[in-house]
Amino acid sequence: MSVLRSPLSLAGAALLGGLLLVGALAPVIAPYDPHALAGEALEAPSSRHLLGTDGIGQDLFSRVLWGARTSLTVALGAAGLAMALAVLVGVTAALLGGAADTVAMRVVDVFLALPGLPLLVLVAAMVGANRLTLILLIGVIRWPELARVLRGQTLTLRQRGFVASARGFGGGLGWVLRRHLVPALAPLILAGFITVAGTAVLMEAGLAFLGLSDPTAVSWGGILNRALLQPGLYFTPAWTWWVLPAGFAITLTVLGFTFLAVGLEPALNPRWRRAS
Amino acid sequence: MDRRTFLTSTLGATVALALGACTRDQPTTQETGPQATGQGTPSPAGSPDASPVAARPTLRLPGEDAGFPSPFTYQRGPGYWRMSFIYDTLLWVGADGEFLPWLASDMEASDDGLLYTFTLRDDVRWHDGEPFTADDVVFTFEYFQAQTLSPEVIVQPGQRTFADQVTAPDERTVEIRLAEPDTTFVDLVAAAVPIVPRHVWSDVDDAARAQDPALLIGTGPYRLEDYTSGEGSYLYTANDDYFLGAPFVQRIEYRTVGDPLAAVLAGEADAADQFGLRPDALAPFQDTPPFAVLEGFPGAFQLGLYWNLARGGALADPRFRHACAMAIDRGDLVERLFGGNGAPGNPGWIPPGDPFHVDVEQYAFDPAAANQLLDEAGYPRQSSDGPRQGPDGEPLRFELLVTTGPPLVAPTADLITAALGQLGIELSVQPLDTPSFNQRVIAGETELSLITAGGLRGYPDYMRRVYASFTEITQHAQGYENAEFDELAREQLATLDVDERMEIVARMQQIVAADLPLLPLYYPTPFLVYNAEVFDAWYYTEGGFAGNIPTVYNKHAFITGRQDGLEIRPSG
Repeated sequence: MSVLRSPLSLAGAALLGGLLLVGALAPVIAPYDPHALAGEALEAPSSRHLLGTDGIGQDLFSRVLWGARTSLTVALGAAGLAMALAVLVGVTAALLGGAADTVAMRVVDVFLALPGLPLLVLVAAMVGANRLTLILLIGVIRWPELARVLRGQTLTLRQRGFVASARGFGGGLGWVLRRHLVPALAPLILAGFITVAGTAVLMEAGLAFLGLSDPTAVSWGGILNRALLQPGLYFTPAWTWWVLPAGFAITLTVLGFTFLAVGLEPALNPRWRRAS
Repeated sequence: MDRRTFLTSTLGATVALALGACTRDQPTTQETGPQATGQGTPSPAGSPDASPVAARPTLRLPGEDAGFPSPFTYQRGPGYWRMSFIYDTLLWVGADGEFLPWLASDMEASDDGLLYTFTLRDDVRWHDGEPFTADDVVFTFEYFQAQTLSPEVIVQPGQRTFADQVTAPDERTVEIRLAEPDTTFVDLVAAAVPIVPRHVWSDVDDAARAQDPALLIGTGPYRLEDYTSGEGSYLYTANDDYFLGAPFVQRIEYRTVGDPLAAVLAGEADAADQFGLRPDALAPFQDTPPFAVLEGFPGAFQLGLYWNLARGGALADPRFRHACAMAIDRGDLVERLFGGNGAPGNPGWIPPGDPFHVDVEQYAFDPAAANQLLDEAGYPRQSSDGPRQGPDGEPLRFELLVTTGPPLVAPTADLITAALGQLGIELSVQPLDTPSFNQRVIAGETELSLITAGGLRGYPDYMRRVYASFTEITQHAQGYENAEFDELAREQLATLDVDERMEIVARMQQIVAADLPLLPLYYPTPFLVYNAEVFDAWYYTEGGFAGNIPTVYNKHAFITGRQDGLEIRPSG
């Protein structure tokens, strides 16, 4: 497919590939332990500390590298969970139809009615947001809309000849799901995955920035949170190396997911395909 | 609305005239001298000579919600002082910690310390015009005793044994009789309990729930004009019929601002106080009129490292705790967190500079000695970077419980984890929101924890509340029991002779420093940055008011416009 080689999707893939590599290799390439007191407080960038140090003397370059791990783990975990739930509920409901479909869609309605961000903030404030709870929460908040889309697409697929024939020749539900539906739904699932992952990065950073996630975890939002709690930060040049890199990293990641999603859209969105 | 239109619209022509007048040289406004204590003195830019203050200023201060400001619903120290603008006490406290006659013009204590007789002023009226009498004082004590209030209401005479022995022999005299001598009586009762009017509260059954602004009738220098809960805005206007005269500061406004320091710099707030500001955060306010910086006493706030002795094992072993203390460079913490603007914590609890402070064992930073101590104490380390093991062969791994509330806690937890990690003691940091954190601390479900405490100066009895085995507060030493300390703690409370009490408190400090159930880590220096053209009589009250609330928001300064005395500064 030519869209896969469009400049946008290539740029997005390159950005995300790079970030994944950074996250995976953080223990190897980070010059310091992100928790260690590697230097004096608020050292300016130098050859010893490429991005300087934060308020207590931790190496910011190492913290930004390690922060990629937190962001990407939450992004991929939450997106994976949301898609798994969406496929399970959406496709099954469409295939089973009848009462099962009705019940499943009412459940989806209930979840859709929940205000996502306020719920996230509330739960994070009450039980604390470590990586696992964040993955669970974002996954649970984001799955219902995807389940709806998948259900709709499955319903149209069901009417197609090949599905009907497969069932007519005695293919079971599982067989039809594996052999025919999932491959046909794959572009939609991929699109949903990318969108959820992108928003999950922002949500994780947002919660950490608000000080609602684990304050001792190394994350980009956490770096920003600590920086902004430093009284009078903007009276000194320290914000240029304490605030900017983490903010830049968040922007790049979200941009990566967005590029990928926009670049792949013609291939992934069923409406686009119908139109072309 | 900007400041100018605000002033014109609220104060009108009077202020315009007064502003014009204040450019003239006014020798009377320049008598406000620095305190003899030497601390809490404004920097040169803030001295009255440099910048005369406008007549009867309005103070705009960064807000914070501290509850409905009635004597029964306010929250913690910030709530207390917001309440104290509306309500008065029998005595009050000035800049150097001296007691000032307030609703009572005179107090006499019997030699045995059991009977206190107060003579009340006869020119005091409630905000609604009713006269203030001894009966209101008697009612206040009775009423407090009948109410069940949140522990955040920090002054509750009802919890004290003597509260039911308050009598009024005549309209101008109140007698308070104690069951046993109590050295905290004047601090925590006479100069702390807000007196409320009988004719307003006698019909209110549940004071903890009463939030009707019409109830806020006090004798105090200010009336509450508006309070918005959640937002934390409080607007006060001066009570010009106040018994000391019309208060110097005409209007006090607490409003929410984003970054308090930036707000002062931008002219959106007139003062902001913060702990442990780094030198570079203070720089824009130093030697830059009209701004000025006021430095307070270290010891207004501390963060302590607590070991829960009740958990047994290494936590109950003093050698283990001593080794931990020697592995933490408290001077380096102050350097890293506050750029040096603070003092290292004192293992004896009472901070240096307090009259009751004595020198105790300091556990100076010495990782080699700490390692050796652990080796000898039976906590071997197999490899140079592995964890140490206890006598039972289990690795020394603990949870460090912290609260996500105060911003300093998370970086401190990083620093402590790194320091103890060097020793082979592994900590996993467990952050909790403040209510859950307090719950677990009170329930004793902790191993190591970081706990904040405020107002450590001028209040030696705080040690009894922290270390004695028969008390219960969040700052309590966890699982600590020392019979000798308990005995001394009871004794000092009833010892009226100051020298004798100092000796007892000295011994108490030595005991807790040796046993070390908790280690105060640091005392960040409190700072106030302010606009000296608006108001320049700021001071940090030595030892705090209402017992130990360490703050610049002492209403005495706002009423008089001075740092001492009761005479009200003439308007510019």
